[in-house]
Amino acid sequence: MSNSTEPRSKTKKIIYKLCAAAFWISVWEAIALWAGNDIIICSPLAALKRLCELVTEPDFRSAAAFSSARILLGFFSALFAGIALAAVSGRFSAVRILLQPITSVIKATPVASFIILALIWFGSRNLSAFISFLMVFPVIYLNVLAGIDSTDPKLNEMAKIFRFGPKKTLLYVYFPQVLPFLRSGCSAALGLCWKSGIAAEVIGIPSGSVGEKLYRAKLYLETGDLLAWTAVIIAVSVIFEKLFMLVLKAVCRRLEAVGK
Amino acid sequence: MIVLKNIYKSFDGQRVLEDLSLEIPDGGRVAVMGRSGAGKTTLINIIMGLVKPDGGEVSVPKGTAFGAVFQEDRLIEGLSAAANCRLVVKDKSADVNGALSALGITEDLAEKPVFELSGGERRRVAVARAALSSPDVMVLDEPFKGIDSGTLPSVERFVNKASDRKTLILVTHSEEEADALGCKIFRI
Repeated sequence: MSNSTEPRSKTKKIIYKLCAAAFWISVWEAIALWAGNDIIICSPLAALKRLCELVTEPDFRSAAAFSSARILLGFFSALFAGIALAAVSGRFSAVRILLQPITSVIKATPVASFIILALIWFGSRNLSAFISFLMVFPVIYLNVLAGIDSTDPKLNEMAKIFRFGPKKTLLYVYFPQVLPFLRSGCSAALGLCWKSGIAAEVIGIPSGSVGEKLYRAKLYLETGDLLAWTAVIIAVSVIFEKLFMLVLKAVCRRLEAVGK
Repeated sequence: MIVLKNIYKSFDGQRVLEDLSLEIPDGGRVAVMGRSGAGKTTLINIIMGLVKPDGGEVSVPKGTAFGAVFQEDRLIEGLSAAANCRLVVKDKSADVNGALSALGITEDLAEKPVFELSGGERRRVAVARAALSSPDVMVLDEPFKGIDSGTLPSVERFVNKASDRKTLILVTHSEEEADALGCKIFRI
């Protein structure tokens, strides 16, 4: 019964999603028609046309690669630092207390303040990597730490009595608790790193970046360019998020399967 | 030999154990009995080194391997019954499925994740795990809790056999259980 209804409900879901997208594109088209001015807002078709032109331009790939490489560098550095420091904080409360003000300050400070400070300290070239790191680190760190904290101390006692050792304890006591927290942390952090990284580039204007293209679009009031580059950022960020979450899911499954 | 001398333990200002002394010779069988909250579980946790006493001396031979059935089952929920047992097995030739089957856990049940098992089945898996860990001392905190009366004799037989020539510390409210396992009763 469930086998026959599942594909049908999946198709239904896809149709609903397409309808929702079509609805919002129509709203965009209606606003563009009502505004009647490409500088205020261009039509979806004009944005798509500009996007197709952009893709064929010689510096499109280099700009996308420049920004993606730095933003992903920031993301992965924060991912590893967040996991490692959460593990140390889970074990040593002194480290947790030491890091608490840092994570609170990073969370509460407007990203623009960090961007301007980092611009003064490091210049603009690798600004987006630093800002992505800064935005992702507390999310990963706090999520993984919450996962560690949620681990049942009674299972830890059991592992101690049955002489599991560090490897088995990590695999069977900590991983099942921490992995869901890590997954949700990564999902939240992935959106953040692209938004903050591109914002940093728009302020710092590093030459050859997507942020620079957005800045120029703003400067010359090229709304079509602005929307086309925005679409590129959304596409790259969504593709990376899907790929990363798939890899993470596969890693989690593999880890869970080790004990079965 | 396990020796406890003049043990004191309080939790949040509430005294749980007061001037408690106990000696358990190697291969000895002791049933710790007492009313709820008397400190039975605290006592076995002190013996296993999970809780530190506020005062007194605890002497447990270095390197003593404990095999425990805790008050709660403390199984790894995502793993099957057999996998939970395999995790603690030190002797590769140990017959995990044989032990589980002696406790009425069929091969089909043994391959199911433990969260799908009933309370009594989970308890029996916990008993099998304690026995399979090749312990020097078996510490069983109400091991027959939730096991139906029809299955109980076979589980008692299993524990008796598994704890043969080993030190056994049993926490129970039932004198029949203590008798069935040939334990000397220690009341607190």
